[in-house]
Amino acid sequence: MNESIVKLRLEIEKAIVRANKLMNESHVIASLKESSNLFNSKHILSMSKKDFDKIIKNLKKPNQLTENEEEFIKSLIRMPDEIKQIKEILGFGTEQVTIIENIHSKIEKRISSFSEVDVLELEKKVNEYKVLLNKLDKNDFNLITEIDLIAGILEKSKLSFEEKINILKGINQINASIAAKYNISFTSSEENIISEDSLEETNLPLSLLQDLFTEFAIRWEIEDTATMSERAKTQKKNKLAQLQNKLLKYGNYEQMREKLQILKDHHLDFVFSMFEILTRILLFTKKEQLFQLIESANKTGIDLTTLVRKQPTVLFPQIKERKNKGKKSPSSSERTFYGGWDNCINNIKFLEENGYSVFQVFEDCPTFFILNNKTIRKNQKYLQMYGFSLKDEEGKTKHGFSMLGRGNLLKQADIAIENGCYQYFYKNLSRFASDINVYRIKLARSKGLDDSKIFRLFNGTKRNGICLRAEFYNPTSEQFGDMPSDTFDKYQAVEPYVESKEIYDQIIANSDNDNISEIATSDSVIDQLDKLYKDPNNDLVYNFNGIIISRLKVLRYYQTLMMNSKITSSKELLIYVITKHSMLNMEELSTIKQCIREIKFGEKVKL
Amino acid sequence: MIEDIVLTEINQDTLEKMYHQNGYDVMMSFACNHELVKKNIELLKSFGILKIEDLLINRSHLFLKDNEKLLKSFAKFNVANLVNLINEDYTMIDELMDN
Repeated sequence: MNESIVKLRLEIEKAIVRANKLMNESHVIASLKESSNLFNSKHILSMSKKDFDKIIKNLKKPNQLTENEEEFIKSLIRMPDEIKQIKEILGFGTEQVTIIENIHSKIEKRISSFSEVDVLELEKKVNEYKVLLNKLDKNDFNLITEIDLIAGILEKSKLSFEEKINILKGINQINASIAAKYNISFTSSEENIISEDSLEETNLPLSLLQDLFTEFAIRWEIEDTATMSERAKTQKKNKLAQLQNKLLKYGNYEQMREKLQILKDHHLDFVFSMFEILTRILLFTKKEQLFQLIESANKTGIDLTTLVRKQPTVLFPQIKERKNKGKKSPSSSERTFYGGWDNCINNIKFLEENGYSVFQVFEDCPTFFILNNKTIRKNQKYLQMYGFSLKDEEGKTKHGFSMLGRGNLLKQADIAIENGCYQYFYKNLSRFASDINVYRIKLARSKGLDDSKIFRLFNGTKRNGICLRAEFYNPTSEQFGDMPSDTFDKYQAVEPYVESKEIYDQIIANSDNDNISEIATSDSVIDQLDKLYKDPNNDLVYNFNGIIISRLKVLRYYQTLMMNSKITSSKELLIYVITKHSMLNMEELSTIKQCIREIKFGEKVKL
Repeated sequence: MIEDIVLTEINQDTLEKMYHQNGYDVMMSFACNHELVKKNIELLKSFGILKIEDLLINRSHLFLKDNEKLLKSFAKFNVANLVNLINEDYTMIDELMDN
């Protein structure tokens, strides 16, 4: 770790210590306030030993107790109840009343010396510090965007100006390496996309464009009109004219000529008859981008011609075009996004970085190269989080990479774990996160069906596999329910009452819920859950007396909710995160609730 | 061009679902390879596979594979059994691809 980042880390730890001290002090003052109200001649005899201990322990310089005062309190602690009753009737002597008043005054001074703090705000801050620490420690994925937080820490630190600058440079370096790895632009995602509006008008003469067409044998006209209807012919002609007008308006003769030559030299001139593709290449692609694509394909052994034939949009970068829906007003236009160059280049990089066979993926799934690169990288992170691998035991690339373009992988993994088909998906990754209603499997098992009635063996030439029986993947099933909600009904599933459910749902819906850091792992509630219910042989599972719950689901949702300053840890919150997406009947829910009773809440934030 | 997608002879409703599921770039691949797509649809139909629409929407990459390679994939299996399984669940086509 960079030396300046180590210094920043230290400052963050100091800030956490300061915040925790303030929170603890706030708790002390709150309890002293309670004691202060009782600490008078009238009520002092009703105070408990615990109350007195708090006073002795928490009155510090310059308000600490004298020996005499401490001895007076201790005598009250030792005093038998019968004597207290008599004392209550007789009252305290003048000297004792003075001692009581002096101690009360010291308590009040101690209370007034503390400036009120917003404990919830401090807890939120500590969580933010911890997220930042986590990012600094082992982050190669999330950009460090907490610049204001860092600035605040540095402002309070005693570091020199030079040291502060070095820290900010260090943060920049980390972000730059993440950005380079994932090809992230520091502009918004839309700014990274070339807009048609940004093109400069060139008003190319028609004769020059025709010269280009002639030189490269481009016939800018529709072919095979015999089978076309008159309407289709007219539509196509109009489209061609529209594309040609764009070339005339924005085309740069020299640049277009260079690009056509590159395409021809690399046997990609078949795109000369794909006018929509060709227009975008000529207007939006830089020649350097064409060379980069050609080099990437050559380096990885992909046949460039096949790549382009199958995925012609890899020849131009992401662009947005305005599609006029009518001439009513500018607002009647909609923006459409096209272009696979960026994804193709970055997906090849992704495969290489991870040691996957680019060639095999290309053979298996040609469309992989135009899948969204950010989605792919995110999904790989999610798969790794849940122990799935895209390589087999021998380190060979598995099949099924198209799966990396799917959504909801985390939720699907949780459901697979809880419904007993994690292993099935582990062995059949290409089917993971497809639209199978996995809850049916749990329902079937609850009805006494053994696995031979749920899965069947499947014989291939290279391997034998298992597959689900039709009842479990067909869109409809009378026995097990069509949709998950039907299966829930058949299972007689119940949902626990959670008063803040709506708020929790909203927070969860507005987050990716894909981060697990010290906020969750160092939390005392999670610590207790882990000690009591984590499967000793499987980090992915909590076993609540036989009820299997995805541990990472609990951690992910718990972290998201705890990051919110208005949310505090509670039994209700824990029930919510444990049961989210789970199909549980009354008995199972009761078992979980019984287990949760053993968890203690309200522990201080751990350092 | 994207309009050539109609040449794949896939019905409009399926095309719209495909567009929604796969986006413009994949649809453009289909349009530019409409002959290959048609050939692969015919091949799958010739084996008796009925769930073509599901496959087009959810396993679009399959239709951009070389026709011969797709044909060879079937040679590794008891075709009748496999086709039955695929007709029950289109995701079984992954078995074909995984082997």
